[in-house]
Amino acid sequence: MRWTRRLVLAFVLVVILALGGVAAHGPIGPLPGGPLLGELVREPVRDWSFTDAHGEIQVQTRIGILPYSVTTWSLSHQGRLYVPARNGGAKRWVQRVLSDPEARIRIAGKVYPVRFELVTGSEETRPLARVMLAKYLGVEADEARPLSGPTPEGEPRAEMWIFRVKSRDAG
Amino acid sequence: MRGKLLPYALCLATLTTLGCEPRGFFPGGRLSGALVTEPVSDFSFASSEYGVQVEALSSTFFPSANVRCLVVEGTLYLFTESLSEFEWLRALKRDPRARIRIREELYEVRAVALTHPADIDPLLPGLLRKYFGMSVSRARYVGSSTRFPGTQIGMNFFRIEPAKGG
Repeated sequence: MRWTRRLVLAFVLVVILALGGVAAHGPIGPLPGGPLLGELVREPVRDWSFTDAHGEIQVQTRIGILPYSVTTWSLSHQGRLYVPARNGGAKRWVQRVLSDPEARIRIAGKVYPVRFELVTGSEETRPLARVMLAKYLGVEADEARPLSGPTPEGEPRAEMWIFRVKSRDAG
Repeated sequence: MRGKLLPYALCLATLTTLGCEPRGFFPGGRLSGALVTEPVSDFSFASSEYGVQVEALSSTFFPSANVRCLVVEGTLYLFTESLSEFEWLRALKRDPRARIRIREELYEVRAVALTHPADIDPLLPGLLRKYFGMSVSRARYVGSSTRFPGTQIGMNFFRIEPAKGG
């Protein structure tokens, strides 16, 4: 009985420590986390092409008053930075940046205050399709374009949302 | 102390391995459902599924997972994308014996790993349309590139074939 009680106590302690760890240190793999810590970059970034070398970035928004962060992908094109979101309609962080576009991103330990803007024009998203194929899937294609419009009935298909990311004042 | 903790550890291991279904990104235990005994040669009925579940029969620890799927001319293909490789995936590459679950029904099959571009490239247009919302022409799998060294996720492809003797 004494050991059962200790086991339960140890389990509760591990859960509390795990939740506290996640909340304090940002996302871990596919699990969301809390505030992004790191060196704050105050100067606006003019050329984001350095992000080509980084497979994953972290995005911090807020849920209510609480910081909420996730790990995701990024694309650079002509020095500009974009963040794609597959099936963005079902993602909590996407809904959050739609209503409050001010966010922070972390790349290689550095934290950048940024603003998210949803890209709707196909002219801007078309070249990003090939960047995403090469960067994340290792696929080359003669032509690639994001599909737009409603999904045909009976055809399960992902929707790719793409955000333009710009530096903002660190405040 | 070790003797007293052992039953709890065994219960936890049994529950996690046998009792849990795969959830989202996380692998799970043995799949349950009605076993379809007749061999299936045409999986067209699965084209409307966004994903299916697979269980590697030779894996003992978290043997099942949610995977992407694609049906091309009646043949079912499975596809995984991740930065890490779970045990069920390593087991499936070693031993193709598997069960897949589609709409609560279980099918005993062989999941044959595809590694040759001639097998993979024809699948890319359908796969990119379904899971990345992209239309592509003449797509080919090349892996890492000079501009993006090492940022690619791990992709694995399997062709579903009837189980031997099935």
